Amino acid sequence: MREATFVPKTVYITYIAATRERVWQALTTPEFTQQYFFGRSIEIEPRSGGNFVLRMSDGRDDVKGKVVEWSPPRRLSVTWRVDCNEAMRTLPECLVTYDIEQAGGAVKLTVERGASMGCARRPALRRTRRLAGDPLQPEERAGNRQGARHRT
Amino acid sequence: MFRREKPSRVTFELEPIGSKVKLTVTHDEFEPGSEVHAAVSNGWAVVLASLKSLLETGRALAMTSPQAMQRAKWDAVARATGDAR
Repeated sequence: MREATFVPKTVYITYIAATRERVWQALTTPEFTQQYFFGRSIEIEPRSGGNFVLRMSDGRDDVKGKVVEWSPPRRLSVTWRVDCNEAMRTLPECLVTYDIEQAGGAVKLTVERGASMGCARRPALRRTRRLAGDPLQPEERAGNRQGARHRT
Repeated sequence: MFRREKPSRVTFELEPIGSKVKLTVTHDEFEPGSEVHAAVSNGWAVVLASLKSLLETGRALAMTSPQAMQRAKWDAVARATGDAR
């Protein structure tokens, strides 16, 4: 099974006052993702093995991958390869899994990013931070150089 | 049981980012094998999500309301008395 080759690296948990169906829609429809994912439109084939793309407003692909699990409104799992520039295209893909559970009048959303060694974790973090206007801290830059060594 | 442990430390950092605030919560200085650590690990995600909802929309998450706390308390009592039998 392909999933077994990915090791969990980062887990985000948050709680949202919405139904599971609505959270599922927010993750999988372009009308939603355009509003909260830096303007990216999602295109996703609703089945395991389907294609998955996050497209920028200028038409270029930012992230590409395949659907590993499509189980609405409970679990979505996709492979994740950052495609928007040359440096990131050479990195191995990650596995990103969204789990959506009912939790006492709210929904618990768990986002788990698995990673093989040299995954785009640090560059993705740096890029996200840059977009947010928040530069990396010195100790994180040190970690980033170490990450770069892993990739060579 | 939590009272036996030394106090841990919680640090809240607030940084302005454009018109928003980045809130970083760091909870550290637990005793080795701390039971408090195990107990609070899942709690912060709930509290901070509820705080965000409250500040942005004026409504906290239902699960952190006084009513929900009361229900959780009775559930805990029921579990405890169940265990005693």
